Amino acid sequence: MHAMPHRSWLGWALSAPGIIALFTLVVGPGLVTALLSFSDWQFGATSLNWIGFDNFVAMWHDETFRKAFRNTLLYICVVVPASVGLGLMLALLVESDPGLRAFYRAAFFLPVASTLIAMAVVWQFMLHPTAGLVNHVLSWFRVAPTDWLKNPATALWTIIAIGVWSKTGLAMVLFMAGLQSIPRDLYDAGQIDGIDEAWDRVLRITVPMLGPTTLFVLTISAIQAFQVFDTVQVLTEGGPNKTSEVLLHLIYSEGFSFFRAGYAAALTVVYLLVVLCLIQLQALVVERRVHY
Amino acid sequence: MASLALQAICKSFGETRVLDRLDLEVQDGEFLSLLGPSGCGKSTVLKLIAGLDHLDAGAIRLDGRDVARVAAKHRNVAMVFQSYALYPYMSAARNIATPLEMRRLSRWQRLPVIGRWLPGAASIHAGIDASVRRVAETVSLEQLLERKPGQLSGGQRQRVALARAMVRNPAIFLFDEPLSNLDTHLRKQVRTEIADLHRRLGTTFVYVTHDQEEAMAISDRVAVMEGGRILQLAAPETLYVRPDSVTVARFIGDPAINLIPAAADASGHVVADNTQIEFLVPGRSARALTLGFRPESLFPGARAGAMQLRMRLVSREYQGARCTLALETAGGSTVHAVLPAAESPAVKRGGDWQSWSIDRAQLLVFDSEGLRVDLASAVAGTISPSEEI
Repeated sequence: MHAMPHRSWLGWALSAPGIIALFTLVVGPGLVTALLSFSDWQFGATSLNWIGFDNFVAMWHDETFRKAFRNTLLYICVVVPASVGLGLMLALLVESDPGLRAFYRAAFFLPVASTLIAMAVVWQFMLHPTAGLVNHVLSWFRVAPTDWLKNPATALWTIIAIGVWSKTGLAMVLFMAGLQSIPRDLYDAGQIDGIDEAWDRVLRITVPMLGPTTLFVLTISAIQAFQVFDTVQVLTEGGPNKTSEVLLHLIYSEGFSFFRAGYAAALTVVYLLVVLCLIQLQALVVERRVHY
Repeated sequence: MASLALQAICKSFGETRVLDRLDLEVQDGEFLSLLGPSGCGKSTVLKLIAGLDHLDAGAIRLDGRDVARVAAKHRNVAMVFQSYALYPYMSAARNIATPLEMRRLSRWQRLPVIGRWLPGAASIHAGIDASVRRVAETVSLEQLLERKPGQLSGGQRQRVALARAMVRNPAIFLFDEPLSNLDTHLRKQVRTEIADLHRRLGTTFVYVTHDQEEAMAISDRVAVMEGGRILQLAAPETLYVRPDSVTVARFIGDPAINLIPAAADASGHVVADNTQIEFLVPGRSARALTLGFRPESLFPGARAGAMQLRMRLVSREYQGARCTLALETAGGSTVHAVLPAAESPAVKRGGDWQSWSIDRAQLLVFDSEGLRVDLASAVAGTISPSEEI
């Protein structure tokens, strides 16, 4: 083997495509967004003024932003635990019957694999106040029909229910993979040690062994839930009266419906900061607890 | 302590019949090994004894009581797994305590956090902690009790697994290839520790392994298994000196037994490599036979009273105290000899043919089915091997 001469230009040349892509697609736009958040630029305008922190101050007083923030938090706080819990339960059920495993996996994963926009349109039909399947079925149980998407009391909860439905499959598939990686020996050892009832088995072996998987699923679900947009855009557009407004949809309407690009940029900065916090929180928990 | 009897046990997985009417008796306090290649059914036997799998037919008796339908935890049997099967999220202490927690605490007392405060829980926990400490001492784990399995070495994990098995004083210990995840050096050390443990506890041990050396070194008796059947169940010495069949002979011993084709001539004498051996085979027909002898019963030069064959030295492996030699017979078979290093001849280029002697008392003859044939000596005054043993 000959010692290679130290040619740093080669290293730079080889990483150049990656570096250029990173800067043009991630770092550059990020910086531009951060800069725009301190301006009053309107989409399409040829000039702009620097207005300091005015956008952020305006945000603080903006009732719509507060609603969107609250709704997004509520969405996360319900969708994440519900879809992760349901996903775990389904994974345990499906894994216990190898015969129909493939069918159930496909059935529950379908909402994840398909386009949520298309699925949202289907939900729109199902939720139709007079012709929809949902009200029709509920009428059998003597539940009064309502316009789920136009009723301020139900609009956000309907979006949340669809969110749970669409995220459960992903959690289930990830948990199924996690379940399969638990060594069979551990259950055998448990059986000899006296861990032989289903409840003990789940609590003492399955759940702790799924620790790393659970954390991964929670993080993925939380970040995905934070990105809720398509269902809101198709089904309610944030209404009625902003009761189902969420952060990402608010950014979209400010930037591309009202063309207030500066304000949208400020919203985006806040949005990204929250995502960063979520990721940091996960990293912290990973180091603390789940490693064994 | 308990005796164990398996009576005509059968087990199939789907279409494959893994065990077919297998019988096995293990005496109280005995160290019995199940030895065989992978897939011979030895681990299945162990799982059936432990209660991790259901029998298709037959009975498993612990001290005379049929336990075939009894749940694993009520059989009073402990098992050490090949992978150790420790709970990775629990400390060593909690791993060892688990079998006691599951037995002594009620369902409610086992609940996390609240359980500890229920009446009676505190004193039971104190008792469990004392047992854990006592067992940890016997396997020198006192300093490592708070560590998680991930922070322990292979040998230490093995000891945690042993402690978890010992903590509730089971009637029978089951070992499923417990040493195969350790390196060679550690393997011998832990093997000795397990043998010591057996001496100290005096409990019945059933030990599964595919390593004949391991089984021979530590067992009172070894059951050699193949294809779901026990080929021979005997003390290690018997298996080595008087194997019932060619399969057992081949499986036991390292370097492996030498086997060369032979036949019985019209007079009933055994003939190998055109050399008539002064042994008679019962039954006069000319049959295909196999002649077997251990590497250490082969010596250079002609010895009085020994069987002699012409051989050529092919290679020599130096191993310190001894050498393993590879030789070619006139019939084209390769055989091995083990000699003290000082007595072993050097390999010469081209290699010349020389006489080698085989200790007659050590000769084994197997018939065409691979079963050992009892020999009668044709020479007056020579002791036949069957009489000697």
